[in-house]
Amino acid sequence: MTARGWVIAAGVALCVLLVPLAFAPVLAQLNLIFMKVDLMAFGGGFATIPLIQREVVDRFGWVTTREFIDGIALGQVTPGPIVITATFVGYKAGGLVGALLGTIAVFFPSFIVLTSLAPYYDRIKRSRPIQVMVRGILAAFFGMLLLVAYHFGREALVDWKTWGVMAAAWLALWRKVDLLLVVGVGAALSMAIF
Amino acid sequence: MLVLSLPTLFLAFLRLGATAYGGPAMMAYLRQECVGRRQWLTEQDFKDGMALCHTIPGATMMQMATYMGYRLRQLPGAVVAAVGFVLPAFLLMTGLSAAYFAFGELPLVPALFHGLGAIVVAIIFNACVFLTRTAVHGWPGLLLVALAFTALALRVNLLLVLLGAALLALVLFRGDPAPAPTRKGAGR
Repeated sequence: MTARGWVIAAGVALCVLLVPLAFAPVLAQLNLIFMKVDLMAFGGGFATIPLIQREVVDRFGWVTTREFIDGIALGQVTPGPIVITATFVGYKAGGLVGALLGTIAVFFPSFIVLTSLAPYYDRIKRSRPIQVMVRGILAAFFGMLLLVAYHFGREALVDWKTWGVMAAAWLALWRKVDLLLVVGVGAALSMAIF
Repeated sequence: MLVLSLPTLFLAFLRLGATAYGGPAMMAYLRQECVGRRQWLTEQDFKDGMALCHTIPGATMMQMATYMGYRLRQLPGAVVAAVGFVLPAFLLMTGLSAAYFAFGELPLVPALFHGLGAIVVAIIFNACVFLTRTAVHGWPGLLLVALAFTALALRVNLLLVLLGAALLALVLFRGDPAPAPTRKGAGR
């Protein structure tokens, strides 16, 4: 990355951070939280779920657990990364501007990390301590994701029909049935049986 | 290395962003499109990128798009690829969110999400299964899983949990052989 590139990147970051800070505290908060989530999301998109749950549902209460689950469901029917759930949360907390800010904030920090680390790719890849620490963090996310599954289960699995849908969907995913097919069939089925 | 114009790159990633569905399956799709069909990157470059994107934080698919953009056209390429890749999802999600919060009370909608919620639980369980394969080997891994579960349940600061896990891993995984170079799954 050139010096000019850095200046541009820093300028964009400042605008993204400071402009909402001046006008709406909620948007600034949203911004900071999603940047934090992004920087802690070792192990990809699913790692962000416990992080977002903790900050957005438990701490700030911008969305309820039910809405968060629904937002993740919508993230499954949209293409691209699951982290796009940040757009959903941003929309609820701050309308269209919130949706835009949430989306930028949840991708921007890792974008900077990735592009600025470019000269060191090889060294990172070969560094054993880094690989080991990342594995530890992945294991921790596994534990956190289990807790999230428990929370979600208590909210979403309320009778034998929901348990049945869950079991069938899991079996299908486990047998490597296409995710979009599972969600599509599940959606049609849900409208018929609930 | 072949030279692509920035608009071409943008349109290509816009198309990829609109057609990449299905969680971990997306990585295979991206590889097939960018390595197989268009030959933008070599197989080895793609593998290196995946190893890197699994090591640093952030959404893996998005990181891969950025990485490829960077490899092809440096920083401008990275910006163009990242924006193009996320734009379709962003527009669709904004529309769906608006519809959800406007029409969430209509008759069929709660029934729909009743079922979708159960499917989300299944998807998360499935992600757990993937993570077990990649991250948890033997009792040291299980110990970390249990500790993190407890810490989150007790509402310990998340950054502390992650730092603790990283440092504990240095001790617990000390005797392990080097981790496998390609780690699949949980890639969304």
